[in-house]
Amino acid sequence: MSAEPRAEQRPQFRPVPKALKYIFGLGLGARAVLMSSHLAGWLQDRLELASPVTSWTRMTEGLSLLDHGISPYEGDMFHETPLVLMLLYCLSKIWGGLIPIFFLLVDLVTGCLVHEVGTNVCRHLLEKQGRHVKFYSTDSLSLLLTGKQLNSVPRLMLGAYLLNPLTIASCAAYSTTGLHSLVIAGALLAAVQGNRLLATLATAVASYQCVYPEIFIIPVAMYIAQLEQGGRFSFRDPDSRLSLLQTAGGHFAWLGFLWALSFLPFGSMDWLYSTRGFVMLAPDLTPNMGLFWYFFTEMFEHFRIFFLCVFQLNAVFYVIPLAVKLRDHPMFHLHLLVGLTAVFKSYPTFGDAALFLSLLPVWGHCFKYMRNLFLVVCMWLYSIVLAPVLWHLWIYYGSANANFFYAVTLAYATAQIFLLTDLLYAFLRREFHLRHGPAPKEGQGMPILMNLK
Amino acid sequence: MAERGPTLLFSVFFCLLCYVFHTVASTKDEYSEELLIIPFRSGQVYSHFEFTTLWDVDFAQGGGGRYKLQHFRLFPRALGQVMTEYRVQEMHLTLTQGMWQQDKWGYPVTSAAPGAELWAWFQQEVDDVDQAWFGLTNALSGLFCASLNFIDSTSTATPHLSFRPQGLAEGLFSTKPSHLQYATLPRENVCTENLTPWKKLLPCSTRTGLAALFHAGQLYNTQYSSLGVHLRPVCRNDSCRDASLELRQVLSTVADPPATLNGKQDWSMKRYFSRSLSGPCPMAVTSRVYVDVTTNQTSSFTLKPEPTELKLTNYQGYNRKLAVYDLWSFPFHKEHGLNVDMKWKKEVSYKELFPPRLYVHRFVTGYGQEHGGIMSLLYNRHPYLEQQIIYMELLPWFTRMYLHTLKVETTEGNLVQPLLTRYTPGRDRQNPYLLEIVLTLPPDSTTRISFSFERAFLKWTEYPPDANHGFYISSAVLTTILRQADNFTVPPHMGSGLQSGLFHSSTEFPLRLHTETLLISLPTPDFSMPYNVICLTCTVIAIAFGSLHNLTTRRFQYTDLKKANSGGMRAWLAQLFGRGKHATSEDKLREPGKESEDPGEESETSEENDYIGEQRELVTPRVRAESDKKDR
Repeated sequence: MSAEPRAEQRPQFRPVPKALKYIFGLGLGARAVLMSSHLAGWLQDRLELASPVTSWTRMTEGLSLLDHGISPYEGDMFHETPLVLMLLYCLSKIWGGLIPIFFLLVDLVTGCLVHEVGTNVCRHLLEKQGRHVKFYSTDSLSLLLTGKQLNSVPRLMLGAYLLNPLTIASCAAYSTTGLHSLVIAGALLAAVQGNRLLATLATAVASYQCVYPEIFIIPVAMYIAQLEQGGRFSFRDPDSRLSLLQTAGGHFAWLGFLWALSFLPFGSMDWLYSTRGFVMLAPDLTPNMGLFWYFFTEMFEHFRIFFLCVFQLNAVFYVIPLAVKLRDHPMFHLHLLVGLTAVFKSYPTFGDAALFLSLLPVWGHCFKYMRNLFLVVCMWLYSIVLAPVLWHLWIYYGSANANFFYAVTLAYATAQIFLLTDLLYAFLRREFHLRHGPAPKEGQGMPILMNLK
Repeated sequence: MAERGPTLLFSVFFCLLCYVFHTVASTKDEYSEELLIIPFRSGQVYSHFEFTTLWDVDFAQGGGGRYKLQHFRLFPRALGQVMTEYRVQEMHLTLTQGMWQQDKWGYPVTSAAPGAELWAWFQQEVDDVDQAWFGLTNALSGLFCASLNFIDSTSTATPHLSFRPQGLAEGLFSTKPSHLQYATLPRENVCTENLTPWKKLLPCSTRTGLAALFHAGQLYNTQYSSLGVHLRPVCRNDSCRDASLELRQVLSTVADPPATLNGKQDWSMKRYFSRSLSGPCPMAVTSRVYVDVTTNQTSSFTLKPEPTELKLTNYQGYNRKLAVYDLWSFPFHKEHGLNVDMKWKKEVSYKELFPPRLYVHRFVTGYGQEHGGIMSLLYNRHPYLEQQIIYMELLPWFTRMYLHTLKVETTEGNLVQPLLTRYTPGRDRQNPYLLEIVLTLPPDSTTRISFSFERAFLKWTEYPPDANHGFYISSAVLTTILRQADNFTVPPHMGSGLQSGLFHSSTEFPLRLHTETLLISLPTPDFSMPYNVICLTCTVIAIAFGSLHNLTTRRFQYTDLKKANSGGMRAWLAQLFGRGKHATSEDKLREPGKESEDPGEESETSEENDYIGEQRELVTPRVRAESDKKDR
């Protein structure tokens, strides 16, 4: 977040393609420098950057277990998926130096994907605006998108991803969160391009890797159905339903294929419990920036299962009301889901939130209706700075206790929730103004205010 | 003739009775009791009691290594029934208070881990080892008043290399590696409540014989005190065609006379056991007291009364002189019994002690409560012999071990390549981490084994009452076979009884060493917070849920402030501060007829605008300005 305003400035003042080169150069340079510095080791153990699922220490342990001929899924030290494990195992066997290059490349590719997502979503929004403009109020011209955004927004997004200190630190920590961002960005890109085969594959890869993107399939299916059906799309229409089912079927077929592929290296499905089961049951109560750890540390034993269900449902449930409310805007829905899962997942890291932040510029046209942006930025900065400080006070100096760190994670979650709900509010309000004009018609002073009914 | 009838009948009856007794008594058993006293150079005095019951059980009776223990004579029935029930082939239980200091005291007769340590081999026919183990631990827990019932899967492991069967393991007794179960309870406190049931297993209890010396108050007022029960099948004779069941009950203590007396190592039974011996246990075949007088070359102490015998042993050039009191031949006086009394001429001079050839120390490394490390130093002080050892580490699940950080190197920095590494990763709340390494220690070297671990965060209910005291990690075990016996207190004995160890001439000496237990602290949550945390976290979730619920189930519309004005105090305030969006009074809501599903069709505003228009005149400019500002 903190890098974003800076990145926002750059392309506006220098709208030259060179800007891209600068962003790439700066982003990669910062990552490379940080990786080679002695800070890298410290970053690897930062639990804000690396959860038990994505931590590089655990990945190293997994690789070492493989070396000893022990399945990493036999114990409880390794929770990354088998395909990623095999990939990194091969890389580390070929040449150890490939690992940092791999992580650099992952972030680079994610940046490019985010850039492409920006271009495609902007184009999609403009096209959609073209189709719908006849319904808009004649007064709301000032609210319309312009072609200029096609240039600036993707660059902003690229900058927001590659120059965000959180992604830089996350990359230098070799956290596989970067990989998670890559597959999610891939899913977003494939979704916006509207190719069913590719989109279902991409969402399957994303949900194979990070579990929660499973819910992405709902907006993706709606988007594809709307592309196919045009204006005739409705949940009651049999054709639309067929299209939705086809997409869902494609997704699960791909997922089944990926699972079958993961069966091969170890000849068992134990990994499913260690990856998916681990994320769903959240047995590891190591602190992270999420809401699960302290809640389940302090939970009464007989309510544990109940609240586990509630928390996991909470992470995925919003897809349904949003699908109804935002049925004409599946892309916005999809982007909101990226943010929502980044807050409510069981093992979140800064990297997850950073991906959502880099998607924000696409919705820059809604920002003027946002209410708590300043508060959110302050809370973000507060939690990013205080999290490591209070962690050290608790764990190393013993002068603080768990509540201090817990307070930071609460503030962090609240900030993200404010940001998400505010964005949704701004989006809905802009949609309202597009149709009803930016201010009530027949001016001359009306006692009129906005209200939610 | 009439008189001979009953006599004949009686004779026949007598013969029958003899036959019955014979068949019952044909399962012969034998009991011996021994005590070894060694004054250490470091000033402490070691007393080691060993009570051995050998029982020629008919193993083949049950088929396989299965035995059915019946008709108990000397063998304790309570234990025998447990062994039969859970089909235990070999069982070793030690309950220890204090830490054996290898570098000062050499090697103990039987090494034991601080706390409770239990390992058992089950018979091959046992199908559900976990079930049998669960039953055994619970039964022993009741039998010895120890917390052995707290042994569960999180503290149990199946080491493949370190704990081989100590008795017979072939033919009838062959078993599977999976039938070994090993567990420790490093936090177990051992005291008189464990001693009382233990001594009840002895044939003479504590009424007579060596066991008469057990006075709990004295036994536990020592630096080290260890109880042991060891059960194993052994060869009945040299040909080893038949087997016997051997029960060894062991009690060791290390007293520290110089600390309590005027710096002298004076030791006597009366002082340290507050009793003297009145005679042997009538059931015992052997009843002996050995006092190691090897260090008395220069008559530095006097031993009273005179021993019945002085014995010299020599293994591999290492001489040992033992004073033996055979209780069967000792002339016990009616008034006072046998009180072995050592009187030293001088105070103990604390000079340099020579640690044994092989010993080990273990430490916790690192700081903070996030990560940590364990480091063991393995000393091989032999000038030219390499030593092959098995090192075993059993870590509880909450210290998550990183195998990739395992490093074996000498203190000079040369890497030592382990010959074999066996690692079983742990699972949270299920299995411990088990590491076994086979390596060769170079001669005259110190080898360092180190690795790091991650401290887990437990649920608040999983912490013990004194959470900040920390958690104990059981001692690591070093197993090896030494080729020289010069450091042994008593060379380990393959045969039964102490004398087989004291006076034998083997060339291989199996050795097991236990390291220090470790105490590590885990990060703790705030135990007073459950309600607060549940409330606060749920509030944050409610913020998300409430906002999203609000935004997805309601829609925007323009509201008439004039109408809002009539809504009372809140509306008035809203107007005053220009925050009309909070006004929710009934009368400013739209009529339900105007609902429309699709936002696309929501744009018909004529009615709404008319509705708004009616109020036009009533606007005050100030409010409009504020409302415009808000929209911007």
